[in-house]
Amino acid sequence: MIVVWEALAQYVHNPFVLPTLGSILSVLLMPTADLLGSGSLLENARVSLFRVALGFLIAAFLAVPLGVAMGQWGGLKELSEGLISALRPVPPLAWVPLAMAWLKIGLASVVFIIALGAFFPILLSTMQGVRSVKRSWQEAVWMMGANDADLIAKVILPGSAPEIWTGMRVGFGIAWMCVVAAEMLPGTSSGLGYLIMYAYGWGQIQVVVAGMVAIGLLGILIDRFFMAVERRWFSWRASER
Amino acid sequence: MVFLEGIRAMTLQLLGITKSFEQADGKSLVAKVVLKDINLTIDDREVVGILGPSGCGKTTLLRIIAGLDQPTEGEVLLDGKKVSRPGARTKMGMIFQEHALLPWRSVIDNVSLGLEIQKVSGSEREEKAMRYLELVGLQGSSHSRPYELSGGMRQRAAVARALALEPSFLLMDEPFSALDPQTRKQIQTDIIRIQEKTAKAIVLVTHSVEEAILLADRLVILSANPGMVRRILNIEMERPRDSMSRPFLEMRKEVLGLLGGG
Repeated sequence: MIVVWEALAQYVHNPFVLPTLGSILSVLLMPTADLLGSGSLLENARVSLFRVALGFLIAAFLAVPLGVAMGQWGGLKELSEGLISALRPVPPLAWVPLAMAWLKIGLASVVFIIALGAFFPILLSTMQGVRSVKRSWQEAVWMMGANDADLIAKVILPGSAPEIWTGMRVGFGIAWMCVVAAEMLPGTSSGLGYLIMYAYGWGQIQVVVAGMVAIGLLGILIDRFFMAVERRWFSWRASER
Repeated sequence: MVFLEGIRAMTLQLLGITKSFEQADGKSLVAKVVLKDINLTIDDREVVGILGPSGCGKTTLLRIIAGLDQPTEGEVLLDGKKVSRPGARTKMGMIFQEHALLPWRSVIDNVSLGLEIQKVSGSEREEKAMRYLELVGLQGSSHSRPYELSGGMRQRAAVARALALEPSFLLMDEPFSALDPQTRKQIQTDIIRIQEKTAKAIVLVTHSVEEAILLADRLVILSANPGMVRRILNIEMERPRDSMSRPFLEMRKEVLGLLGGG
């Protein structure tokens, strides 16, 4: 693919359409250099990562307890499932106008969109994880005199942790897509999404492509991290299926 | 080793235990009676085997004794006090049909789980857990995960876990039914040894007549639909019992006759 790209770039010979590998690499290899006065690649990546981390953490802090409650207590289930089935089909980016109306343009609305994107996968897999916790595990700790707090801490959370983690991995992937898209919206002035839109405006396509590569690489790296933790800590899950 | 500390004589009484479930019958709900008027007293250090045809509610009965299910009528008394919480504050320990070990914890962490819940200090926890792992012969596998163990070893770990809280009663729900015959025989022998050493009372639900006669001081034979006490038999044979001896075979024949109908 790389060879085809370079051959085509040489053939087209138009950096506004297809920049050469050399020009893309020179952007990637100097991640600290300022690009068009909009900050360096590294700096913009840092901004995007910060936003996505913030939105993701907010989503996780809300979705995990809610998912545990909804998975564990039947009464809550009926009520919340209606709400979820109404809200979930709306893509997070469709919330953008409303987010801007409520939270104004800026960090808060970007973080809101990210949190929304990560929220549902985490919530749903937490619920599913909690429901997969074996009845006999719960009864075993009840026989040991456990109260509700013991039950949650010793059985429900560790027992559903593999599913929660998978939900976080999926949620983070969506959050990462959301941050890039949200940064392309008016009113943002930093981040990788902003950088590639801005570079496009200046006709700097090699910066656009370099930005895309950086977005992709970071996404893969974070996904690998999630998978590594999964293999390290949740290998017991495979034995239960 | 001392396993008798803190244990004192206790009596478990079942008074008129009746259990019925609502069941759909065509369009109306009908109460299906699973257990009817079960009366039984289980003494300290006694091994009681509960036998019955499938569907006689013997597992339900054990769960009611454990406090995991509530009877529709009647009550379970431990030392005269009603059992209102599962395990009656750890005076009863349960061994489930499927070991029910937590797969993310090592064997020793499973055994010390109850002590952890009871807020026993770390060093005491480990010392006690190790002591009971030794008793069931699992000291060499203390840091394995349950899924790395054989079925028999898992059930031993479950026994150690139930013992770690030093209950007066051990409740066993067909604990060895998933094991191969050889492992089963071995673990039955161990249960006799452990029972003698720790002086627990054991309530054993089983569908194996041999197992019940091998282990129990007393057999409670239930009839099905609804589950009622058909007969209670005392077993006077000395332990260890020989399953080929004449008294054993005669008793087996008698029990099979009682289970078979008529």
